[in-house]
Amino acid sequence: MKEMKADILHRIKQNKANPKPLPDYAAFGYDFDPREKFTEVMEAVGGKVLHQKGKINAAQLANLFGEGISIYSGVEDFSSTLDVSSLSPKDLPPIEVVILPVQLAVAENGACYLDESVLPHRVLPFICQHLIFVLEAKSIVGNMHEALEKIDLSQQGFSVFIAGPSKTADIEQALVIGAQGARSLTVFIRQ
Amino acid sequence: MSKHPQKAADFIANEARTDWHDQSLWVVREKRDKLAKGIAEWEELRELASQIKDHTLSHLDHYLEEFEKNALANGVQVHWAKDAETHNHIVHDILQKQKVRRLVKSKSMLTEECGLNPFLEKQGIEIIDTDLGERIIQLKDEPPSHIVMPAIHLKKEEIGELFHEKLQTEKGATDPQYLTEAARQHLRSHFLQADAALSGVNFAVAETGGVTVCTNEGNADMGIHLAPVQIHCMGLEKVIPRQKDLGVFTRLLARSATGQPITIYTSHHLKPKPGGEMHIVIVDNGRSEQLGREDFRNSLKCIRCGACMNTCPIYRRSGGHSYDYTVPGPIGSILTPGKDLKKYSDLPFASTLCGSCTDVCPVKIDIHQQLYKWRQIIAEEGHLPKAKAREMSMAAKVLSSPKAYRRATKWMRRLMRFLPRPLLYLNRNVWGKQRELPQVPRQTFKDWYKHEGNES
Ligand code: SF4
Repeated sequence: MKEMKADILHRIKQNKANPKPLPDYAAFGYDFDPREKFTEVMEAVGGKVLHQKGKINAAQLANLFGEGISIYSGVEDFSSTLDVSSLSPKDLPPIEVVILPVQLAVAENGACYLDESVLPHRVLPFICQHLIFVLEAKSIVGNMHEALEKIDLSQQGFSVFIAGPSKTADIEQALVIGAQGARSLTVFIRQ
Repeated sequence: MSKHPQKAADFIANEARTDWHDQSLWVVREKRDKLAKGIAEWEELRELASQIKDHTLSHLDHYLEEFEKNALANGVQVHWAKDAETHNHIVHDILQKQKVRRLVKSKSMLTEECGLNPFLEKQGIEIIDTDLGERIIQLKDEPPSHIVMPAIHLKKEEIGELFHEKLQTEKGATDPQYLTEAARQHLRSHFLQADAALSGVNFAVAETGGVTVCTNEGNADMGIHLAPVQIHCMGLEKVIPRQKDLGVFTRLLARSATGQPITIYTSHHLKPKPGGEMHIVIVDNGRSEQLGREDFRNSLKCIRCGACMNTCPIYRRSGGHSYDYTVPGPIGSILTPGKDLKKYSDLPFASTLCGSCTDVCPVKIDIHQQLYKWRQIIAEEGHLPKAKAREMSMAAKVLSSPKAYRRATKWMRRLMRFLPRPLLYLNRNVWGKQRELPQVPRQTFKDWYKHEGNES
């Protein structure tokens, strides 16, 4: 094993080109309003954006998904209908709706960032049928450069940008929402 | 020898299908253009991406070691594989130690390149490819025909038929929504049973020791987070220096690939899940040699977006399978001769050298120039097919003598007007197949210039 690595690195050392400089660059600017742009992009990829003053209530959820659904909630507004911490990840499929706070969102592409600290199980935002994000309006940044200046990936074992409901176009390029992950994504933006 | 022309001929035999394939890809190319134009600094981003990759490749040993050091500190087990065979054995060893019987995989062109599936299947391990496109071709027992859209060559009727047979969907059902739903249910049951999950890697960040995986369906994450063992296989060129560099590459990747602002999921895996284990396999398999080929080393900058395929007039009309390699299209045609010059000697000729690939490439690889360079090497080493070599040497004689050239054009202009079609489109004239010769001008440019020049 050690030899294999040494061997590969040796070949690289022999074969690589003369050193080229690493460019430095600052975040690029933009000429849009981040909140408007975020909404526009998120809707274009099939997500739903709702502006929310105050807490999310049961009636709103029932409106979106019907009564009697199983919910995991990672926000204070709302309590979970079942205790996922006592379940193993493979017992999670019955969960229909997962509500998570989002640390930051990116206007240019609709990507919402969250890390393991809000996830009792890493698979939770993928295995649920419907995903809800709660986002503070002031946490929307313009582009990816800005986002990556603000977060530190090394702080967490797992983190993810999610930019819409799961989708595929693998059958004749026809867009189908709800491939293998969440079938829908609703983002509540809180002022 | 010369498999591409033959396979391409088989593909275009069905004209309606060729047109459909061509159109499907062109639509993706147009989406890419729209998204690229929406970013004022697009060209700057391409330049930055290119420079970051150039820098990384010129310090590749350093960054790989930094990456490994940080990954180890994160509790990840790092493995090095010099070739495909070693890669397959490493993966098998990991699976054996954990007594894994069932493995779910998400899109990894590298494992395709290494032939991992057949290898593991022989050892009695069940492998399920979980990206919808990959699952379709796995069920059909075919290789992918595109690196981003592996089943782009199939019609929904064929997929419906396949799913009817394998997943018991209704006979005759072709609705993509319905078929995708069937696949969702089918794959969910496999995710829940898997003992291990394997994924490819889009970017490996040296600074953090983490790997970034970009997908749209969510299948990679479903697999990785549900199974106790997670394995990420990466070509050694996937490393990038800093977290901030992800900004440049994620902005370019999905826009170039499918015309989306970003893939739906951009996941960063740094540490094993609680109670689980995480492995990263770093694979060479010819890459360090490619690094030593000065003219071709920058093909290692490729981020596998597929844009060069979507735009290539040859790829669009000959289909991915005609290239007979995991990575088809323009980029495949410059990677393959380095692997086996003789076997793939026809691929650098599967191009019009129009340069469209180079224009769209987000990391600015000079693809068409490399194709041209390979052609020269292939000719020098005597791997040209006989007919091509004969035509080339004839052309060389004519083109190197102005007098002979003038004489030839004069005769050709006359001849082409009067020669009967059957003679012009003779079987031996491969250029006449599926092509119409242009209208012959009455005058040569030279004559026209002489004439016009005298008048003004
Ligand atoms: S060569 Fe360039 S355009 Fe082609 S797949 Fe690689 S990065 Fe994309």
